[in-house]
Amino acid sequence: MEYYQQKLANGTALHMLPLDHYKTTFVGINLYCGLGKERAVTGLIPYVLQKGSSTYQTARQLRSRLAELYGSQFGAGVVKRGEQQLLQLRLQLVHDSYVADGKSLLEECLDILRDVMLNPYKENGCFKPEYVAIEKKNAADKVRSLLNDKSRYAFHRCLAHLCPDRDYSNNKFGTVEEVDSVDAEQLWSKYQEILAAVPAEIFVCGSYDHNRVVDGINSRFNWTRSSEAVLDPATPLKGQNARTVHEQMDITQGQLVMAMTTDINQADSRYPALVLYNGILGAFPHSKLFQQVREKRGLAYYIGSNLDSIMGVQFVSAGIDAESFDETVQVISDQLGQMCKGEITEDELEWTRTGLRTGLLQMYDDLGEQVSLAIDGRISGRRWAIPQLLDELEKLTLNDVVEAARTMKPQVTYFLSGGEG
Amino acid sequence: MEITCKSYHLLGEKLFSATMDNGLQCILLPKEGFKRKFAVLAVPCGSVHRKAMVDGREVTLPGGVAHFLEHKLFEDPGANVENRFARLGASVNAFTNHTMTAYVFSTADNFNQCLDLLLEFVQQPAFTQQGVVDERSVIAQEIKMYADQPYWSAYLGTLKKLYGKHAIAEDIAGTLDDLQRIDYRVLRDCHRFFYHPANMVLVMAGDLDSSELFQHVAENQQSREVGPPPPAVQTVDPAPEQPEPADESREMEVGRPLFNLGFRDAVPANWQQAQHKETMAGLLLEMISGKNGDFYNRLYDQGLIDSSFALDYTTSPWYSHLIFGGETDRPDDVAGEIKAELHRWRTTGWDWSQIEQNCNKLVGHFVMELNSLETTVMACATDWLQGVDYFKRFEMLQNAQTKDLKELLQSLNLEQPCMHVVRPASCK
Repeated sequence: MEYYQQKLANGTALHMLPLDHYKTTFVGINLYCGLGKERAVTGLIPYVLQKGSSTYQTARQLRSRLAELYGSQFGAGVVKRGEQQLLQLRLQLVHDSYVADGKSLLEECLDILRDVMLNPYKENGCFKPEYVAIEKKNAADKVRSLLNDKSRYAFHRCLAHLCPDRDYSNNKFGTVEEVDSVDAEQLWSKYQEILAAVPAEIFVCGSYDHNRVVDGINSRFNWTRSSEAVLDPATPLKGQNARTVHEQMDITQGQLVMAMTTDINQADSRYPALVLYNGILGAFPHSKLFQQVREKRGLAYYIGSNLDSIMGVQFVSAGIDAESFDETVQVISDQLGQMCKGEITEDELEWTRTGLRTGLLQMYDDLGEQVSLAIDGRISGRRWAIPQLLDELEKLTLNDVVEAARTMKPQVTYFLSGGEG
Repeated sequence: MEITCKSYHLLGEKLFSATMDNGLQCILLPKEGFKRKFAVLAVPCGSVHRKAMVDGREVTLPGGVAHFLEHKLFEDPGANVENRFARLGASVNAFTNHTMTAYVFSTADNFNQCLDLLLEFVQQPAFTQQGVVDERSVIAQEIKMYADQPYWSAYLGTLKKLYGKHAIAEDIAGTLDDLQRIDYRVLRDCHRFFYHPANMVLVMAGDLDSSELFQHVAENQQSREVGPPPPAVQTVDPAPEQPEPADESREMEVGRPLFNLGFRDAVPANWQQAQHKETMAGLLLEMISGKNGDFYNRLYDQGLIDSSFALDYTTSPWYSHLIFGGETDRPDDVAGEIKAELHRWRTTGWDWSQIEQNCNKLVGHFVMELNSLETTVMACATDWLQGVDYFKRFEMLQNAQTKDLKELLQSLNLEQPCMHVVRPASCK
């Protein structure tokens, strides 16, 4: 299974991936906006778009029509990947064979998507100020409510300490102050700039009729664009000195987040080795971290590691008691040390290889994950296909894993805890 | 062994079922074209199952016992259970809710071997006295993790207000004190009372062949020693009368206030009725507070609610309730609006023209969810465990009558709402 690809007359890339065992068709439009100074402006746009279009002037009218079309799901939002802010519009509809009376939903749903994206509801040539005001409040509230989820909050604090001068440290909605300062005119002109110039991609996946999709997309999404800006490959983070940061809050469980940098990211040919290394260390229940921190010592309920393979960062996170901080950090460091020395058992290596293989095979069934893989490839500058990753994974040796481990540089050990942590 | 096949033409789905000699019920949902394969072994042992009749005597178990047992079944004298699945390239997980414990694995290859392993570790416990003691600190961390989650705190707080002292209102993992009361003997008892094969349901999904698979399960179960039938009748206390309603609020480290507002509902007589009621509630609540309705959009545009607004309707022969929740700066105003809207629907405002639109919406969502094997397998197991067929919900939606929805509006106890609010901690 591979993508069918085409360029629309306006330069927009169309990727199509048939998954015939799906009961739905998925359409996703991605605009690569960067996470720079205007992030708060960009972050508001998809929410204001959902408030109304020229045909469906209120959210209620829009949602009612979608409900009638067998609950077709429409969503718009922003997603942070590396230092990119993706403005996304998503549509999912039931395939015709599950719709009564031989009706067909595809064209009408594409009309709605087009209407929301390209004909937003306007007053005096601009977004409606009331709509903008509501969504400014909601965006500021989302920034405030980050605190409601302690592990997410701790992760963001760790990022803030890790790279304060990089766009990567920013929240996708910006700060409350940044959101407050946006006005309707600014929002409108930013959106016009985005439509005209930023890289744009359309993904269609699932069960669909190829020719109808090609016609449907080409006839509706050929909006006027000047020239598409070039998307520079992501710049991985640079390592600095290791540092430890403690912050306090009135909470029951301490939140530990450790960040490490590496010069390997998805653009690097050693990327599969990095994934295998991360798997052995902390991505599975059989991994070193889960076995040593939870199973052997009972220090945590959750403990694991994950990668930001665009930025070349690995995070280890755990929920622990404040008094276990020193012991937990020591155990984690010991495991990192073992990885560098190649103290990895045959089982650890092979079980991880097999586990990753299963994950890759299962990815064939998950359209969301396949689209993410393609997006990450676009951002990092190198696109990996599932068969290629499967192939590379089989060839990797213990030595490749050790070499990947040795590129890791400890950066920030962040701990959020109650009382005297 | 007799294999039954039901076809659901409108959904393009088939369901094969068979009962093994020892009473284990097996279901296969064939999913052609999928690489993923799933199986779940579901046991009717949840956090509300705290009593059993043994030899005419009632035995009471500590809070959190079902969840603790779930953790300990992963202990293995050799490698641990996760590692044995890892060797097969599969991943294994488990969870406990109010009414059941479910053990699930996911794989692409080696399905039959994974299945044998699943049946072995759930049916033949291998945990040790020391293992039980060691596990207490891990579960304590899990309890503490939930204690810091404001949504969970608001939800439990609301259940306590609705039910007072009843297992439904307790943390699924129990309290830190409960952990000390759970030992090796208690867990063995719990397993003996609740884990007989005749009580369990095995649901599988993937690109698999039914006759070969059921034969494999049959052979597996024949080779396994089965003890005597379960010595116990498990009982659940019916929910007590609702205590006097009183709103409650607490402070936590949150960035924004959040609320839960709960209403009790009359309990259905059995699980068949519960399934029907739950399906009708899904439709009614979509009509009242869906994103395509007036109420949601009015409150949203007033800045009273945002996309975090959600609701949960749960019903069973023992307890039944509706809970609204979300983040808001004005919890009291939102609660006032919800109460007024529900009263309006009950007394005057019957906007039944919306029924077709919302039926279409839920029918579409039902089809969409079938893309996910995990979701389908879990939903099937949950329903089958109570003797009902998940796909029946689809028919029920298509045959929804206004009378069903009106009945539901009458059975809700709108007179005694309970609210629990979590507010940001005041500056110290």
